[in-house]
Amino acid sequence: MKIKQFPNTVVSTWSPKSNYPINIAMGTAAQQLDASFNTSSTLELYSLQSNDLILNALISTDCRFHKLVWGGTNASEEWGSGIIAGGCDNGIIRLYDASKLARNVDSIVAKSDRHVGSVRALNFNLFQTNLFASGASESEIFIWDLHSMSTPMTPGSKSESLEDVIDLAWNNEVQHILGSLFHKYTVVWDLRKNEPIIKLSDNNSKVKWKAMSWNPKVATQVCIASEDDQNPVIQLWDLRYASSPVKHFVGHQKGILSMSWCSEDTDLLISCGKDNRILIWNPSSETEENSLVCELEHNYQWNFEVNWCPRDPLFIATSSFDGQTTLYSLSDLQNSKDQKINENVNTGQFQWSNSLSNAPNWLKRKCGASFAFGGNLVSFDGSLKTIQLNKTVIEPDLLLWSEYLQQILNNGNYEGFCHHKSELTLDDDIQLVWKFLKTMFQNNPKEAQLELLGYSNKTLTKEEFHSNILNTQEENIVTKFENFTLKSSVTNDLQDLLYQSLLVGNLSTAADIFFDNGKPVEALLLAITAGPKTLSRIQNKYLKNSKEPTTALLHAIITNDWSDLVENCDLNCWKEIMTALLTHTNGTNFISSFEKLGNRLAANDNLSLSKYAQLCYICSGNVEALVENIKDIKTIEKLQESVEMAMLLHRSMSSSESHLEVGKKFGELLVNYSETLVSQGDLEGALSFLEFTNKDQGVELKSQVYKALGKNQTIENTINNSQKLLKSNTHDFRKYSTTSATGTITPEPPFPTYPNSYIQDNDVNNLHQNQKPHLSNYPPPIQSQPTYNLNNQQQSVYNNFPPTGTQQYGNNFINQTNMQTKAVPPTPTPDASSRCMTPSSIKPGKPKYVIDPSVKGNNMYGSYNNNGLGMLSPMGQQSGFNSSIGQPHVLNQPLGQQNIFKPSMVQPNCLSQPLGQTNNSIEPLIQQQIQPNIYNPTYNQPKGPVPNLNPQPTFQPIQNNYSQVISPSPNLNQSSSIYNQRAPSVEPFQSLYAPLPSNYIKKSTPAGWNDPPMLSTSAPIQKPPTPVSSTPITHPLYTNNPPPIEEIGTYIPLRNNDEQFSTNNITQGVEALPKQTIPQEHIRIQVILNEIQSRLLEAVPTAPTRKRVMDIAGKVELLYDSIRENSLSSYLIQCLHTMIDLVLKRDYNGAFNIHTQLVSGPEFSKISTFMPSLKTLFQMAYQYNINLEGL
Amino acid sequence: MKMVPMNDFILNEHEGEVHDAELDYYGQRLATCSSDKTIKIYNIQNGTKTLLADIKGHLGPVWQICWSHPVSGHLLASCSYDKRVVVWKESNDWFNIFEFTHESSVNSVAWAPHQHGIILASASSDGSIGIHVFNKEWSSVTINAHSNGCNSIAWAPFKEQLFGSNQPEFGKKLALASGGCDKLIKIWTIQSDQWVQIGEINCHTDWIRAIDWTCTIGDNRQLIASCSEDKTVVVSHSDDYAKWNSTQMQIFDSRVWTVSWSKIGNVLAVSTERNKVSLWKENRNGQWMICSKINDNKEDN
Repeated sequence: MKIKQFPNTVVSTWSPKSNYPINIAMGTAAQQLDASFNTSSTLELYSLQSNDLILNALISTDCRFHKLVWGGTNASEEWGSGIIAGGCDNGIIRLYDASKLARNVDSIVAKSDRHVGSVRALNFNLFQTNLFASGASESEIFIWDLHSMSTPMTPGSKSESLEDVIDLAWNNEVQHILGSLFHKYTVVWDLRKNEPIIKLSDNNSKVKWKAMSWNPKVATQVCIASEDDQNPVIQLWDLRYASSPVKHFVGHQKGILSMSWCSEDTDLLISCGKDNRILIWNPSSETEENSLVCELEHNYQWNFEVNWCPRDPLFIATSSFDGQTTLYSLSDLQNSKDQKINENVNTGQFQWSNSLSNAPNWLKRKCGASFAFGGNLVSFDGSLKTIQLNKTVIEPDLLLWSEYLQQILNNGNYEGFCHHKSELTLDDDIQLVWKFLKTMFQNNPKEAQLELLGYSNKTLTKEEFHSNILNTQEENIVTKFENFTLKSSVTNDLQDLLYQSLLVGNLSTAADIFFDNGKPVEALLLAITAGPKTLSRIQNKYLKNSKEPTTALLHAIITNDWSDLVENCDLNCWKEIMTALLTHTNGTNFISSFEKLGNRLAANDNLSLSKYAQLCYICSGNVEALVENIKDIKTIEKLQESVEMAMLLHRSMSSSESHLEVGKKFGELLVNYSETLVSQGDLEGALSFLEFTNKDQGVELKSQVYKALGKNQTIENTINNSQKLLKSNTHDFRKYSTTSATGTITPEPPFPTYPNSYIQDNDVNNLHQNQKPHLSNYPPPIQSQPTYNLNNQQQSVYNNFPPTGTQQYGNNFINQTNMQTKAVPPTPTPDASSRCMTPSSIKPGKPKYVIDPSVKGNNMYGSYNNNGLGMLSPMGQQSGFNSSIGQPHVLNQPLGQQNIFKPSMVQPNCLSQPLGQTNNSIEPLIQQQIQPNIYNPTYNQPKGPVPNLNPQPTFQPIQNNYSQVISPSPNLNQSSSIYNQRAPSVEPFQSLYAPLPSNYIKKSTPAGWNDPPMLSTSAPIQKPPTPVSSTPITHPLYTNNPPPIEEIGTYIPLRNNDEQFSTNNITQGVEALPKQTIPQEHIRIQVILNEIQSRLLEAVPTAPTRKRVMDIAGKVELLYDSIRENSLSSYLIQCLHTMIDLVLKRDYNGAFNIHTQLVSGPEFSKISTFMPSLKTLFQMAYQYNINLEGL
Repeated sequence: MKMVPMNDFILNEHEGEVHDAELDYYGQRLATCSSDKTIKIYNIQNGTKTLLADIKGHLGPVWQICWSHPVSGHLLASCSYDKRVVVWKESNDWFNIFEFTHESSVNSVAWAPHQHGIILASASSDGSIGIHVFNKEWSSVTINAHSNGCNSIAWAPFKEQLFGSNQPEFGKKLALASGGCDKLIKIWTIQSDQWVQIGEINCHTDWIRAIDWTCTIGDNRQLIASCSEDKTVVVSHSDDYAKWNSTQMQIFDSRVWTVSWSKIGNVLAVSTERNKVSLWKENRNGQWMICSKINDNKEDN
C-alpha cells in the first residue's frame, strides 16, 4: 500500500532502529535533473506519524547526494539522535547532526573531501556507533571515527587495481567485519586484523554488482545483486562455502539497482531495478523457484533505491528516476482471498501475487503462556509447535491450611484449633482474637473472656476486702452513740424539719433534705428504706451532681442502661467497657451493646483501635460485622485467617442455635476464598467451602467447579456432594446427639442443597437417556402377559395412574431418577443424625468411629457411603411412587417412610440381606452382568420355597392394611409374583430385562441392608446364601405399594431397631476385622510414621537401627490403637498432627517442643507408652537426615 | 510455590508454528491455533488429549483464539493474518457465524466479560480496534487506536462485588485496554455510545506485545500487565482507569511475548523467548518477585 509519494528525486535514509519516532531524511540526488534544470539541493527531514510523513525540517545544502546514511545514535554523545552522513561528488562527505537538523538550525558537523570521485558507498557500524565506512573511486575505503574526523583509517594496503567502491556493508552480527562491493567481486574485511579475509567472485556468469546486504541474523550470509541487464540476479553467498553462491534468485528482468534485507524478518528481502519492479524475496525458501514471494509494485520508472525501515518493518521507502519518492506500507499485504501464487504466470507476462503468503516474522507470537481455570497454565512454543499443560500451585501453604480447616470443621475440634492458631500467631492482637474465639467454644465464655481482658473475678477480689466486709456486717449501729438526743440542740429549722420528717416517717422528704444539704450518704440510706421511687430519685440527683469519674459507670450499673456509656466513652478504654458489658449485661442488651461498641471501634480512624471491634463482634456473635471489619485482605495468609475466624465464629453461633444462615459478606468472603482455592487447583476443597454459601452466591463459580470436576455428575457425584454436606454437618449432629438423647429430632439440613439446575441441564438428561432404552424395552414383554393386565385393570383405582401400566412404569422411573438426583442432598441428614446418635447412646464417649470398621476411612461417612447407593434409591423410589399415587404428604417425612418400610419387610429381608451385601460390594456395572445369574435361581425354584423366598406371606399384613384403603394391592402383588415366575420363561424378555436390574438392585439393596429385625432376630440366617434372587424383582413392586400408610405409628420403635442394627453391625465388624481402622483424618499419622520408619530402615540398614525401629514400631502401634479407640483428646491428636507437620518441614526442634509440652501435660498417662518412642523416631530421622519429601 | 509441567501432556500436532493455546471456561477443552491456518480443539479432561475438531477456514496464520463464557454459548473467536476476525460456533461441526475484515492482519481477539453481553474486540495491524457486538445481529465499530498497529487488547474484568470498596459500580464499567506498536497502552471506555480514550500508559520503549488486565481478588486492585519488545514487563495500577502508576518488573534477557494473570490476579506468568515461562508475585513491598520458572533449568523449581 502506498502511503505517500513525493515529487522529488532524492536519496533517502531511515532513522536508525533506536530512534523513535521514526524519521526519514531525504537529500536531493546527485546527477539527476528535473525539467526546470534546477541545480539547488536540499536535505529534508520527515517524521512518520500515523501512516503519514510530515516535513519537519528543510535545509539547503552545498552539494547533491549519491548516498545518505543515518547512524551513530547514542544518547551519551552530543549528537543524541545520530548523524546523517551524505556522500557527494568530488570525494565530499558531509555529516549533519540529526537533532539539530530537526530544529532547522545549521546542523553540519563535519566536512571531508579526502575521497576521490563520487562517494557512493557509506555505512554505519551497528555496534560501535561512532564508526562508519565510506568508499569512492580508486578502491579507496575509509573507516571514520565521528570523534576524530581528521584522520580516517584505511583497511589493508592500498589496492593496486583502482576500481569504484560500489557498496559497503558492515556485518550485522560481527562488528569488525566489513563487506565491500566492487563491480566484479566482493571483498570481506576483518578490521581487527586490518586485512581482507575473503574475496567472493563468480566467474561463471557475467555480472556487474550493484548492491550488497548482509543477512540480519546470520553472520556468514550475504546477498549481492547484479545490475547487469543480461543477468539480473541476486546471489546468496555463505562465507563458509565461499567458492560459489548458495542460491540464485532470478526474477528481475533487468538490472537490479538496490536491495534491502529486512532486519526484523530474515525471510524478507526487497529489491528494485531497471525493470520497474519492486520484488520481495524469501532468501530462506527451500527452493529457488519459491524464493520470489511478492511483487510490491510494478510502475513505470526505474527505482534506484529501496530502504527497509529498520524500526518498523512495515515501511519501505523507494526512489525512482521519474522523480518520485514513495513510501510503502506492507500492512495490507495479506492474502484475504484464496489466491494462488503464480496463478497468472501463463499469461505471458510475469505476474506475481501481490500478497505475502507467509506472515512476516514480527507478527508471529513465538511463544506464550496463559493461565486458565483451576491453576492450569497452558504454554506453547511456536517454533517447536508444542503445547504444554502445567499445573501451578502458588500457595501450597494455603492448601494445607484449607485442608486443616476442613478437618476441623469435620471433627469439631474448634477449641483446639483456636488454641493452635493463637499459639502460632506472632501478632498479639490476632492472638487475642483467636483466644476470644476459643472462649466461644468453652463452657463459660464470659468468664474466659473476662480473664482475657485482664479482669478476672479472682484477681480482682482481694481477700482482705472480703474479710472486711464479713467482719463489719454484724456490728450494732446503736452502740456507737451511747448518749443521743432526737431534738436539735441548736435552734435550727432545718434540723427540726429533719427530725420531724424522720420521726413521722416522711422518709422521702427527709432524704431530699439530707441530699440538698450535702449529706448524700444519709439521703441514700434513707432512700433505700423509703422505697424504690425515692431511691431512684436520690440516685439520679446524686449522679447528676456528682463530678466523680466513676459516675458514668455507676449510672450504667444502677440503671442498667449501657447505651449511654457505650456511645460516649473514650474508646481507649474499650477493654474496661467490654469487661463491664460482659459482667453486667445479658441477652439482647448484651448483644446490642457489643454491637454498638464494635461499630464505634470499627468506625474509628485509628487502626489500632478499630481492629478491636473484632473482639466485640465475636462476643456478640456477629459474623457479618466481623467479616466487614477485617479489611484489607491483601495477602493469601490474611484471607485464610479471615475465613478461619469467620468460619469458627459462625460455627460457635450455629452450635448454640441450630443453624445460622451464612450472611452476604461472609458468603462473599467464602466465594473469594473458594476462588483462590480453585486458582490453586483445589477444586474439591473450593467446593466444600462453596457449599456453605447461599444459593444465589457464587453461582457461576459453583457451576464452573462442578462442571470442571466433570466426571459424570450423576449419582456418584451427588453422593460425593451429599457426603460433603454430611461432613460439614457433623458438628451439628454431634450436638444433637448429645442434647437430644431420644434422637427424635430431625435436624433440618442446615446447608442449602446445591442448586441442581446444572444437573438437570445435562446429567439428568443423560440419566434419562441412559435409562429410557431400558424402560421402553421393559413394557412390551409385560404387556404380553395376561396376568399383568389384571394389574392394569386394578390400576384404575389409583386415580392418578395413567391408563396403561407400561407408561406408568416409564413415568415412575423417570420420577425416580429425578427424585434421586434432586432428593439426595437433603436425605443424608436424617440418616446421618440417626447413625450418629445411636452409637453414642450405646457407647458413650466413642460416638463416631465405631460403627462399621469394614469401611475404609472415617467410619461414619463410610457407613453412610455404603448406605449411600442404596439409600438414594428407596427414597427416590418411594417418593416417586407417592407422587404418582397422589399422597404427596408422605414426601415430607422421608425418614419415617423409610423406616416404616423395614417392619413390613421383616421376613423377606432375611433373604435379601445377603443380596444387599453383595450389591454393596459389587460395582453397578458388574451388577448388570451378574444380574441374570441372580435371576436364574428364581425360575429354577419358582414357587418351592415360597415361605422363605417369596415375600408374599410376610408382606401380607401390610398388604391387608393397604387393601383396606385400596383394595387392588393384593392383586398387584400377585401379579408381581406371577410376573416373577413367568418372566424367565420368556427368553427375549430376559435379555431385555438384563440391563434393567441395576435400577432394581439399587432399590432392593437398601431395604435389605437397613432391615433391622432380620439382623437382630436371625443373624445366622444371613449366612446361607439361599436362593437370593426373587427379591430384587419383587421389591420394586412392594415398594410401589404399601409403605406410606403405616409410617407414623411405627416411628419410635424403628429407632430401636436402628440401634439394634448398629450394635449388631458393630459385632459384625469385630468379627470381620481384628482391628478398627484409623479414622480417615488421622490415617495420615499412621502413614507418615510408618513411612518414616521404612525410610529410616532404607537409609541406615544396620542391625541396631533395625532393632530400634522395630521397638519403635511396636510402641507406635499403641499410638494407633489409641487413635482407633478414640481415647486421645482432640487436642492431643491435633498436637500429633502438628508435630508431624513440623517434622515434615524439618522443624525438628518445633516438634520436640510440642513433645515436651505433651509429656509434661495432664494427659501424660495416656500417652506415656508411645511418646518416648515417637521422640526417638524423630531424633533418628533428624540424626540420619532422612529425606521426608513426598510425604 | 511450584509450577509442574505435566510431562505426559505435550501436544505437537500442528504443521506450522503454534501461536496461541487457550483452555475453555471449565478447563476441559483446549483450543490451539497455528501458522498452518488451522484451529484445533482438544478434549483434555482427565489427562486425555482427544482431537475434537480441526477448524479450517482461515487463509493465513491464525494468531489468537479466545473462548467465550458458556453463557454466550461457548463461542470461539479467532483472528488471523488474513485480516479477518471469525466467530465459530459448534453444532456438530464448527461453523463460522460471524466475520469481520480489518485492513490488515488481526493480531488479537478478546471477549468482553459476559455480563456486558456478547461483545468481541479485535486488534489489527491497521492500527484499529474492532468492537463487535451481538444483539440479535452483529454490529461492528472500529476505533483508530494505535498509529502503526495494535498488537494486543484486554478487557477490564467485571466485578460484581467490590469487596471492601466504596465504588460498587466501578467494576462494572465496560472498558478496554489496547497495546500497540506506538509503545503506548490506551484505555478506552464507552461514553454515550462512543468509544473514547480515557487513559494512557506510556511505559515502554518499543512495541507492546501483549497486555493483560486483572482485578485482584480481595483488595480489588485494577492491574494491567504489559510486555514489550524492549524486554521489560510493566505492571500498572489505577484507581480510576485514567491515571496509571507503572512499576517495571525486570529487564529480561529477551523480548517478552506474553503476560497472563492468574485467575485471582495475584500471579503473573511471563513468557520470554524460547518459551521460558516464569511466574511472578508481588511481595509486601510492592516489588515483583519471581516465584517459579519452567523450561529453563530443572533444578530451580
